[in-house]
Amino acid sequence: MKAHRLVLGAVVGTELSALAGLGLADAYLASVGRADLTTGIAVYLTLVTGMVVAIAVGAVVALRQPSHPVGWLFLALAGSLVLVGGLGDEYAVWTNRYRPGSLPGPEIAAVISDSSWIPWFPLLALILLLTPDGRHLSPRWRGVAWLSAVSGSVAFLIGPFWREDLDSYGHVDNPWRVPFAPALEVVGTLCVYVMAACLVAAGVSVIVRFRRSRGDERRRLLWLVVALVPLPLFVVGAFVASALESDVLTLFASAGFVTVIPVAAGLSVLRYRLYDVDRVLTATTVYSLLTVALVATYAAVVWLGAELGTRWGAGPAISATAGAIAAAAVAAPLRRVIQTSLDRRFNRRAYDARQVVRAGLAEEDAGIDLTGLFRRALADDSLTVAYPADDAWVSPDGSAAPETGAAVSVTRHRRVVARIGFDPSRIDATTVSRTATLAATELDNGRLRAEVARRLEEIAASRRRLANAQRSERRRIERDLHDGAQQSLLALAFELQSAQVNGDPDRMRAALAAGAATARDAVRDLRELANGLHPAALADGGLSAALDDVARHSPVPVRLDVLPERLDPGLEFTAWLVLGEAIVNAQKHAGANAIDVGVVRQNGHLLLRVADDGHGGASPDGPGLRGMRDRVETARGELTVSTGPTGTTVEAVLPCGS
Amino acid sequence: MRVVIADDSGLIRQGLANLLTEAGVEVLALAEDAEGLVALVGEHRPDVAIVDIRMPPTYTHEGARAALDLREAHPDLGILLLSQSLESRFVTDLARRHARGFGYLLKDRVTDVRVLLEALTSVASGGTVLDPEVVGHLLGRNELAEQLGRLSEREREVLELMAQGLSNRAIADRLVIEMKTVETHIARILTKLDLHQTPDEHRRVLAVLAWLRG
Repeated sequence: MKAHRLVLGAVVGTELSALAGLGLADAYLASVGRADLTTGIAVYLTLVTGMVVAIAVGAVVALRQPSHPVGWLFLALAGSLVLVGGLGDEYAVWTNRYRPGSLPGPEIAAVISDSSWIPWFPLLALILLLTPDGRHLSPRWRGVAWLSAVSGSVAFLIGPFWREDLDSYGHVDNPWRVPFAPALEVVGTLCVYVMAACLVAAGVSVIVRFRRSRGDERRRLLWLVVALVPLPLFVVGAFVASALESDVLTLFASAGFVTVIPVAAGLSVLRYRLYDVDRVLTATTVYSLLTVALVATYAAVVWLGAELGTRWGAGPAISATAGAIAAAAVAAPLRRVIQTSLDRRFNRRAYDARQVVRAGLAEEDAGIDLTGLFRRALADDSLTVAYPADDAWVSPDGSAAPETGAAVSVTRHRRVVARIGFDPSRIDATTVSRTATLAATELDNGRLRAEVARRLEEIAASRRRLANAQRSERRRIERDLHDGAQQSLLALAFELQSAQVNGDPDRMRAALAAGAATARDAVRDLRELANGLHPAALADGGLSAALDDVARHSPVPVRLDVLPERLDPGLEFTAWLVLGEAIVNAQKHAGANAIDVGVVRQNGHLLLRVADDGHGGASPDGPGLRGMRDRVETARGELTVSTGPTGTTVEAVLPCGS
Repeated sequence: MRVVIADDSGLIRQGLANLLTEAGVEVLALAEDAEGLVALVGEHRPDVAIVDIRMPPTYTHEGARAALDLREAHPDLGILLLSQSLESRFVTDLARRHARGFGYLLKDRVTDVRVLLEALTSVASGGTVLDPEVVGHLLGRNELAEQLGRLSEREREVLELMAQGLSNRAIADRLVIEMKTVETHIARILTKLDLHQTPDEHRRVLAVLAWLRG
């Protein structure tokens, strides 16, 4: 199962060692004064860069997708370059020119090294044919692969039998040359043409593939296009470098050249950041064109400066400075112009989307429907806008936002103002993000509106809960009346009436005595009920008096620490309801041995506290505490409940104005 | 007169039974819920079942539902529903569909033994009795105010008594007027309310109710 890892490790190890060996051999030759025999530092570094990149890409792809041929093809390409082309060439140079005859088989080494470039063609062709999904475009294209491989093999195999003089290693006679070599030469040359044709065809296959592709596959191929865009820059760079004989520039140009294609192919195969590729491509193109334009500007100004300078005696430093300033000045506007025109031409959809959004923003002012606008702009009816609120996402109407699959965040002043959910099969993240960012200010306003809507919704919900609580409270009172005083009085009426019908004086006396007792009971029932509604003690003596009453009748000892002064009646009533309910909860549900009740005034706030030593377990979202919270919040206060094994504490802070 | 009483409150059940016994009504059995009521009616075959509307387990309309079942099983059984609070809509619906031998009174009304006995007699003989509160409630409805405004004070009184299932004679006695005057009043009422006069008393109530319910 891990076999491919072992093979991979061996291949990569061998190739990297060969590369190192090549460097050491060159270094030795240079140190003994035979630098003329070395590869040359620039070429060597280019080779190293190209090899390392090819090996790295090949290794990563082979590691992630062992069954994908492209990873292994890259490793094979690197192998053919470094082993045959590099080490083989070094060997042939060593044994033919540095110390002739010091190593065995100088002629064979020379012959093989001379053909080392041949495998590159079929390998490159295969890479192009099989990127990005590891399959040929169609059976016809499979034929191209075979043709390339067969012609490459034939050319490579018959090469040693017809080549004549191998001048690059001094004068080496080919010992294997056969008598009918001219005929083989024709075949070999033909094979090379076929190979080259196949390579071109493989390139065509990429283009065909791109034209036929849709969606994700197109995005994968775009990575190759990303690599192709800056290639002309490197080619031009390489020419300029050779003209200037600048090693650094040569290195830069050629390293870029040998790096971009393998990297792009690797990213394409691995589906790396598929939804960013549009942006990368646009950016690459923009900056490539921008570089050309800026260099041209600089050159034009410097040339003009030199022309005028010779006339008016200005120095080259001045014209160079002027050129740099000119280039810097045009950079920003030029980038915008290039970006817009590129978008219009190549990223039509994103461009149109932004146009729609811009028009929409310009047209409407207040109350703009951003969801609708984005849906229109991006042609995605499932698109949603959600705003951050506390620790959740809310829809524009303030309700809780549904979960979304793909989504991008829009930020303003480094703060997330909205989340746009979209369907990735219809639109890509980059386009959504860039389009939505245009409306960041409006989204920020939308966030504020949603926040207000959410608050209002919360208030409405709290009102509904309060109304419900009030309704059930009334229902409870009705039941209390029905089952209590009302029934007692009815029974009394029946009793008195039957005694009257009976007419016997003793019977009537007994009925009157019993009736008086029943009437007293009924009155007591009614008093208790009235007291529960609004205790007389609260009206007469304030919170402390009402709580004293509660403490006296409580089955669980209640310790009071209540400020004695009177407060606003409304506030007193709210406090009474909250405290009363908390005390009743502690009595009924907590299994407490003692209840502490505290009411103090602090900094214009009334602090209420009911703590018990029971078993805890109060549910903050249960209807009881929820109702309490609503009451407190309606009075612009705040309720906190902490509950645990050592008891429950309910605390409320109510603003009391003074 | 033989009755069965069903009420979940022992106090009321017993008080009512005592009162009826004192007034010479034969109380056959007492039930504390609907199920017991149905069984006892089957057993004792009373003339009238006196049923509390609210009974266990839900304390909504168990009593009334039991009354409907009883009406199916015993078509001649008179049913007098009692309740502590006004249940006008539900009861008027019931009265329209099952008007024969049906009565509905508030409990505080039946503490007046005369009203209670009158209602029992009326229901037992197939009449319809509705509590004046219900009638008053319906008469108080806004959309009726205009049409009812045409009625004179005395005519309103007569209409209310009609709605309670009183016969012309009973109305004459109650209001201490001549029978002929009562008949005149009723004719005027029915004319003012665009109703056709019929001889059948409870159908007359039905007509009034039908008109009241719109």
